[in-house]
Amino acid sequence: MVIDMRVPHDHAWERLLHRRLRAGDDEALAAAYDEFAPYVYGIAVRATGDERAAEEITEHVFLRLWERPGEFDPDRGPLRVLLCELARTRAIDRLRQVGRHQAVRSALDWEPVEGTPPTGPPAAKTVRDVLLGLPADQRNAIMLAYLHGLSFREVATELAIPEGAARSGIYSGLRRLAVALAAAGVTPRGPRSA
Amino acid sequence: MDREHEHDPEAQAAWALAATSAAAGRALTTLNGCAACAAEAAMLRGAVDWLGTAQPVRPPARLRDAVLAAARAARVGGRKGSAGSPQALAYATQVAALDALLGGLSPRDWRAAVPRHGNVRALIAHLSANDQMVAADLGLVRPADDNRPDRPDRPDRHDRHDQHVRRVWRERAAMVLERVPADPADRLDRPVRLAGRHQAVRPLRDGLVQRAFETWIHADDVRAVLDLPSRPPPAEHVRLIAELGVRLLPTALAAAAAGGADRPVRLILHGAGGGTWELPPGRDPAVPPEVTITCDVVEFCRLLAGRRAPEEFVAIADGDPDSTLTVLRAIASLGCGD
Repeated sequence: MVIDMRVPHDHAWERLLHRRLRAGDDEALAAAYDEFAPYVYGIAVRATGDERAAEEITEHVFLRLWERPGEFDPDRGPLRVLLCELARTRAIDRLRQVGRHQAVRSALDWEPVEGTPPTGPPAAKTVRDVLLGLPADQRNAIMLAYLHGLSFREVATELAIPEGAARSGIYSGLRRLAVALAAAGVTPRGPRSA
Repeated sequence: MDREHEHDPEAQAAWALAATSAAAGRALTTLNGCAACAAEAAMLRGAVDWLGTAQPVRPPARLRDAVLAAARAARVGGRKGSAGSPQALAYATQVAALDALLGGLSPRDWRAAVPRHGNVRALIAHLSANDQMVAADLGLVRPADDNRPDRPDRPDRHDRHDQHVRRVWRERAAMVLERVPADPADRLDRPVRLAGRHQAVRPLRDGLVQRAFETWIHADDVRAVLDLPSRPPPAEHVRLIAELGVRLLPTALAAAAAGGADRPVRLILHGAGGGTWELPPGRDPAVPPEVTITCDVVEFCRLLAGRRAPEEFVAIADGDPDSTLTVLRAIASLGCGD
């Protein structure tokens, strides 16, 4: 069965995808890839600043989904969340092995890169708008903590700001984002509604 | 709410950024037993969960093929993880593609005439026999072999025999792929025989590329029988095949004429996976070549496979016509022999 990607992906879409992944249907893997690879690869390439490493991370994430479809439970959370977490943790692991070196700039770079999809779910636009509306230090602190797994202290050192500013900036920025998403009708942890 | 509990929303932000989804789920129910903290943490975690969507980047198109091929290869070989090396992935990709193709054949398709081999079943048996050379050189136990293409059997057992030939071929390929571990540096140096008239012995990394090459070419043989379009490998795999052909070419040139291995040749291969190569290896590019051949890289691979006649090969050649033809014939001698 071909999964119709024209239908907006919702909980039912993900449950169907889940069943077909468990059945070893590679068209389901292709559908998941087509839908989520730009987020997975985007996280990986922004976190590492290394396109080759980002490809390896992307392959790892989708092969893990293929080989362990049971880790994805559509009743507990959306696939997007699982895949983004896998990409992020894999990228952070790699940075801890090889060092962050040139990766800081890519993590803080908000210029569109070649191949950036022009559209995405409305929630993604909300996220981007909120983050771009934050002061640069606050946005950078959030992205360093997210993409590089840095502590408040490490973020503060990296950005040459007081640790307290990093703490409060990250908290208030995330809270602002959460409020904006709620206002847009996006469910925080449940299946995608945007 | 715990009276002694001190709310620290900023620490919750750190937790929301660091926690995995599973840990977050567990912690939400026990977060100090404080409903307010749990709600705050859930809200922050929800925001974190969306951060990854802020900067999507479309990956290179070839990565999709690589991911799906690796997934199919994992299924074919029962293997976990990626194919382990670019050479193994190239082979696994072709094995998966041919297996999918064979899976759709009717009994009549298996009987369809194939030039050089008789029919599709005999072609797959030939491919399987060449795979076995690599498997044997790796010390792998030969799987139950019943590949004789001319085995007399009753018509009502044709289908069973076709599937048996397919299964033996696939199991051999899977055995070879399973011997390429995730960190394959040492194993890829192991010598194996290459199929073909030159009886070359090369490192396994070259053996894997040749198996990918031959599997692709024979899959295309099957496609031709079925009137399906040819399906060249991804560009990076075409590149591996072209590079192998270039590395083997001095041997073929030496076999063609005394001193042929030293003949200065330049190959300019166009298209995805192509490049420019100077022969013999290490020759100063400033020294003008005796023969320059410019052509499409996929067509070069088909010439390598003996699927193009040297005398009719479409290329831009610069050099003495006899010398050019000698080089083209040497290239065409490097295939699996059938």
